[in-house]
Amino acid sequence: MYTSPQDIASLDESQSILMERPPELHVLLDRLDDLWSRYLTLTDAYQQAQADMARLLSKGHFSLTQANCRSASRVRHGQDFYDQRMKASRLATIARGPDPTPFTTFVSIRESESAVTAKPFVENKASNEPKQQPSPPSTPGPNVHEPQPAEAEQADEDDSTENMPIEDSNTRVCNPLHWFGILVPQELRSAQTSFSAATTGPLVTACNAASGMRELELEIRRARKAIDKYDKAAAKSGV
Amino acid sequence: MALPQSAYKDREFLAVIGDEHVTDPPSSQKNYLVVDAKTELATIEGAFESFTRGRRDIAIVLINQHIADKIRPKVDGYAEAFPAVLEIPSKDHPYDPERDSVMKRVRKLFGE
Repeated sequence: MYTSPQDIASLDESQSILMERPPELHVLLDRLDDLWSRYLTLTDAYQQAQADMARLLSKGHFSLTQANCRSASRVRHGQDFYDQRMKASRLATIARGPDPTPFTTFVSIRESESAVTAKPFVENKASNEPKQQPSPPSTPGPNVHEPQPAEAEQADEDDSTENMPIEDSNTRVCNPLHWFGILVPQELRSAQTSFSAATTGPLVTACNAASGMRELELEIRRARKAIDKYDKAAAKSGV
Repeated sequence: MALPQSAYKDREFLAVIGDEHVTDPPSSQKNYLVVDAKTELATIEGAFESFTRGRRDIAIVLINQHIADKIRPKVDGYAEAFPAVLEIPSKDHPYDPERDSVMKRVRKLFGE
């Protein structure tokens, strides 16, 4: 607390000095504040994305463990069943954003061309066997170019004249679920859903946030150096 | 300063360095490394170098945090924007922000 008139005078003097500083320093300080604000926002986004990813991966691991425990044939759903012909079902795209300021490069995840879930519909009038139908695509996230495929086995209700998609060998190779048989446990599907969601959602957010943070770190250091340089120059000139 | 988009046009794969619970199904060029108790440190380091600097088609490198701890100097010393290196938890090792290289840079920037 400033109680003496001398303290009040010194406070007024320092405030007047502050107000009389050249506008360049104000610009630098404002820029630094802006950079810090954006950096902290991205840090928060990164931490939230990591928490979301941990939750989804944990959920996927739980589902996978349940699938292993409940398997009638005691099959362990692991790398022993991996198909070496598998192609990547998710691909990343690195693009620049429209904003010319830092954090201009971002990553998005898309389906690969080889990840085809089914051929175009083929008319199948005579068959009475249960057919597989592609489930409706899930609602895409903000950084996903195409919706994820969601496979589910359902008995066909009208199998006489309706056109149905038929899966081919390429589809079985591209869908890892088929490596473990036709009728896989529901827990295994849940595991796939959880892991896919972690890949296309929080993972992309975390990558973009980390990339933006890296760019902002450089800008913050440059701004700090510019302010230090200005202060040194001001000290030398006696201002 | 961000590189032009053409510099990243070939980077489209996700690479994974993790234990058997994490690694994705293999592709034709094996963009993954399964790490177990017998995996040597040099193998992990070689895979990390290959995915980050050797290959031009990797966009993101996912690495389990407990495996990243084994090659921590290399992970912390990696300073490129892409391929992005992301530390992820594994089945038996939860995510620890104290050990994350990204959060270490944050603390360093704050002067801690």
